[in-house]
Amino acid sequence: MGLFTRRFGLVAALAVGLAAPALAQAPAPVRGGQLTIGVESDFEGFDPVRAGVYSNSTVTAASLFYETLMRLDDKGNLLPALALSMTPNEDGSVWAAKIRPGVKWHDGTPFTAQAVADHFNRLLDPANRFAGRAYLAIEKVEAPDELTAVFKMRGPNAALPKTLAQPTVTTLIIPVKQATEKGADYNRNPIGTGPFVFKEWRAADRLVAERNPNYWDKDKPYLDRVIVRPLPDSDARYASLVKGDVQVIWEDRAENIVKAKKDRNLNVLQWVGSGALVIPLNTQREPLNDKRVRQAISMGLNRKANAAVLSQGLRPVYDDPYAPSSGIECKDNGALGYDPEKAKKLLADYGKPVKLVQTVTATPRGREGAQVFQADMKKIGIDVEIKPVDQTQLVKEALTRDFLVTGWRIIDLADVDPQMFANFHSKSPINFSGYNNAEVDRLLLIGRTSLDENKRKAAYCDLIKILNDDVVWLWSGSNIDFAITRKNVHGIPALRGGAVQVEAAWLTK
Amino acid sequence: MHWLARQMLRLVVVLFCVTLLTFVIVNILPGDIAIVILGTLATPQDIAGLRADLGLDRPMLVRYFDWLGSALTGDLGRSYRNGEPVVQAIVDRLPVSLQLMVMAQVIALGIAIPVALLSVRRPGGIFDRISASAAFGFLAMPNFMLGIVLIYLFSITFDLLPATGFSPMSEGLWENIESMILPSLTLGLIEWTVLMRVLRSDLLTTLKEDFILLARAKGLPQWRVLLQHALRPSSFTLITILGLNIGGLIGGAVIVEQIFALPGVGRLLLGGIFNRDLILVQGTVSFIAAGFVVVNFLVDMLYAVLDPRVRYARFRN
Amino acid sequence: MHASATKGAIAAARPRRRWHWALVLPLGWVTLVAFLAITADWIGLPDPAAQELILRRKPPSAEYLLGTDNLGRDMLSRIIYGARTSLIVGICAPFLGFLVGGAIGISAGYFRGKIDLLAVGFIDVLLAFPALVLALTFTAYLGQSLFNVTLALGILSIPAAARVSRANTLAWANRDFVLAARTIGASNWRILTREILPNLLPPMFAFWLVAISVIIVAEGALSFLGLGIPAPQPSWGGMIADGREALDVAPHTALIPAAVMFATVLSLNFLGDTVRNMVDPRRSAL
Repeated sequence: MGLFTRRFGLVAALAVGLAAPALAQAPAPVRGGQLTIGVESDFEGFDPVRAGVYSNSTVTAASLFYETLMRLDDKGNLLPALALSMTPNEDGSVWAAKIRPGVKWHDGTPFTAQAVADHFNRLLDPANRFAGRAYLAIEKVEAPDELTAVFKMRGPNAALPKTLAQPTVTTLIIPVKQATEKGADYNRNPIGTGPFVFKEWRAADRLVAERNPNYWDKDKPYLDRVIVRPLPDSDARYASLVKGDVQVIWEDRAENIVKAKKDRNLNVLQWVGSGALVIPLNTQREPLNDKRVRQAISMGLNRKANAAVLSQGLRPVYDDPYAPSSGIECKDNGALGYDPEKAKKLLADYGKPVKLVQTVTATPRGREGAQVFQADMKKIGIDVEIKPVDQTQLVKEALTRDFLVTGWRIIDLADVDPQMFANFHSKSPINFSGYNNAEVDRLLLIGRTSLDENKRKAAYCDLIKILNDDVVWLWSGSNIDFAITRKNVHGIPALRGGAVQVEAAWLTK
Repeated sequence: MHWLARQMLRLVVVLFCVTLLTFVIVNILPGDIAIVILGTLATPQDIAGLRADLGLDRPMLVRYFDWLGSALTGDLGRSYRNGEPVVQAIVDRLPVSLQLMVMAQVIALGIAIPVALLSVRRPGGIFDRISASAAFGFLAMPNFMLGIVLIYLFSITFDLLPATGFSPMSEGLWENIESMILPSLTLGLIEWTVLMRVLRSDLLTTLKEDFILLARAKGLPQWRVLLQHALRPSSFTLITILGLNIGGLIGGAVIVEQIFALPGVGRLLLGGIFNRDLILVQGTVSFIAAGFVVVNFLVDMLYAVLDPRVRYARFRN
Repeated sequence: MHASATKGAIAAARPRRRWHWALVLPLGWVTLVAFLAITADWIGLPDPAAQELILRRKPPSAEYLLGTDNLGRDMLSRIIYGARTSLIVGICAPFLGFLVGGAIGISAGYFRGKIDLLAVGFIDVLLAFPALVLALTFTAYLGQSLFNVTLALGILSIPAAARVSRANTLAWANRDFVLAARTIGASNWRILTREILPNLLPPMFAFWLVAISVIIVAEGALSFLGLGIPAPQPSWGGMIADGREALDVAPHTALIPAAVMFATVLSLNFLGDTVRNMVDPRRSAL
């Protein structure tokens, strides 16, 4: 019966979201103006099949003209967007989305349930080789009528509405019909339903989008024009903000964020997402196939102190990849803690000298992390050789399990299920630590299929205890994202997935 | 005419070698475009399938001649990564790199020539020593550092110039030049040092020549001797280095483009390599190579203009 | 005989005292740097890779004479160990380039004809190939190591050396004294080594000295792009690249290696000038 309560609770939450217009007491937004956002990298393109992945820079741009079915407010409550509501069947294996009527694509054609079905089915079709489908627990999507899209899941799935609410390469809906007609050109000339209409993309320079006058949310957007500029150099990006060339930047350099916090003209936005920065260990290879060695590494790495110094106290470090935004809070997570003496004992017990190679990206961040890891390991008597490679090669080595220690990131998703399942389930093709534990598989399945939120949370807490004791991946820091704005920029929501969304942004003089 | 034909032949041969070399090199690079496109979740089946779709499973030489065939008709293909036509990508980026190159060389020469002339008036004198020290100061300053220093100085402290970004000509000539000043200054301030040093060295050698003696004996003032008699025959190394700089900069100035967020050829190429976007790298490198050969051809012509003896030798051969 | 005027016109007025300073200071500095670089292991320096994160970015003090870097490592130790790396790369890479490139350039400029065509073609291919692609390929394929980085930068300096030497050979090969040597039946080898090479050496030498600094900086640029000498081995260029991160909070992390590098290239070049003046064949003919 708990199942029913849960279901009604969800629908009720949606209704509240519908009824109460947020920010009642905030000053009224002002219409007009142009906003320039500085992001880190150029965009892969806006056809998910062709682009494969969206970086957070791309999501920032894509969410100007694309939209998701649902949305999340800053507290993690679901809000309606392209769908008015989502309702599960008895066991959560089928979800029906009620599509908002009257929405139009930027080219004037109506947005229907069929478009939703086409979008997801295209991504799910193995012939299109969209790799992100490994994360999707959707079997197929049907459109019984114009305004109902039915999601058939591979099994009971509790996380679907939240998963669909976070803007990603999968959930931002594109018009498949138009994309197919335009072929290869669509990637660079996207059409959406969103608050801004795509105007121009000058590669490596800027993307320009203008206000959509026919947007379904009548008052929005407030801005007339948004420009997104890839500014790869972090210091130059910050300088552009200080100079006023851009009004918002995504930023990850602690030095600049600390400076910005002291600057009267600037505001710092921050968001600790779920997921984590991680150091995966290959549990199938010598010497890491020995649990003692893995535990020694975990106890020898001063994760918290290192992160505190390197991020100037900005990046929290947790003992799990969940973070508060996931809503999962464990009383006991079984973390081993920093204990270099015990680490040395474990290594002595192991008996053989331990030599490791850490494969990292050849970037300043990668180099920094690797050198800190190396120095800590040296203190407990482990020799680490640093092997810098570029991103492509690192991914290849990870996927083929051709590494000992590397660096990775569990990305920020609204629900932890897709990532945890993909990374640790023994049958997952991308479980690249080669971890195989029947109990972990069982817990992951509970997390995926149970509609009882408490049962899920308990499963994830049991899971983390095993992972921490077995030391599969080391959680080296949380996924924290920062954006810095000029003081006159308002209305930017939580930086989910590191994306800056400006649908509700507005400017004062 | 005969000479021109030979230059054309040279262009063709060099281009053939360069494109073949690029093909081999980019192919042996570890990493895979299929992984870049499919992302971190790709299954081995998907990767193999995509490789087959892109034609990457065929033997390298077959692919090379395939590419060469369509390249000869002016079709460099579409980027594997984002579907942008390669020719379009190059045409979009090239003006930025060319402008950066020209402005940087003007700045570099504008400093190097006067400084070199002034320092050889009294080698080892105060000016010579100070200019040498200044030169090595700039030379020891990597462009990734100079760039950011210039941004802090000129856009933040003095609030004169935009920190980053590129304005095309269509947005106004001044906006365009303004956006390129700091990047070209970053390159120019480093490059003048090399130009100045080699010009100074060659000038010193030239000044020991008989015809300079003669000019002096005629009682010509020092500056006329330097400007009218010594400068031209002393410019060989200078022109050579200049040619190398220009040729090198056709390929873009990656670091400077990255810092100042300029959409130049360098970033295009860097992105192509990091993404293993073979077809993009291939097209861009071929294009750069062609540009390079042309520039060198012009430099060779300049030798002839600068020194009649070379011209004579050229025709005699 | 060309030079009889030089002394009168340019060099005569130079007081002897200056010669000494121009020699002693740079020589002293270069010797010191070279000495420290060679003996780094035996002079009781702290491990250049040993970190004390809490003490990062500390300014110079009694304990850390040159302060600490971004990861709390002793800058003095890193500068000295970095000298080793930077000098090896800086001297060997252009030397390799000049050895190969110089030989190609001289033969091309002197023999002309088919040899020239071949040499120019070879240089053109090397040059036309973007340096970045070459360096990236080298480090990505062969792995990042001191040897590979030196080799990559060495190959990159071949074309420049070849072109400079070829251009200068072209200018000298038709001069009267070369023609004279040829008419009296001197062998090509003799003409190349006795008549042309000595005239080539001054510009080549000047260029080589500049090349050292360019290469040391270029190694830093590679580090900046993540392709330099792998961490934690220090190099001056790499240290500047790291130090740039904290230019405003801890300027010494970038400025000290830059200053050391500046002093070194300046000394090398002043030394070069002096040496060149001493060995200049026409000057010594006096």
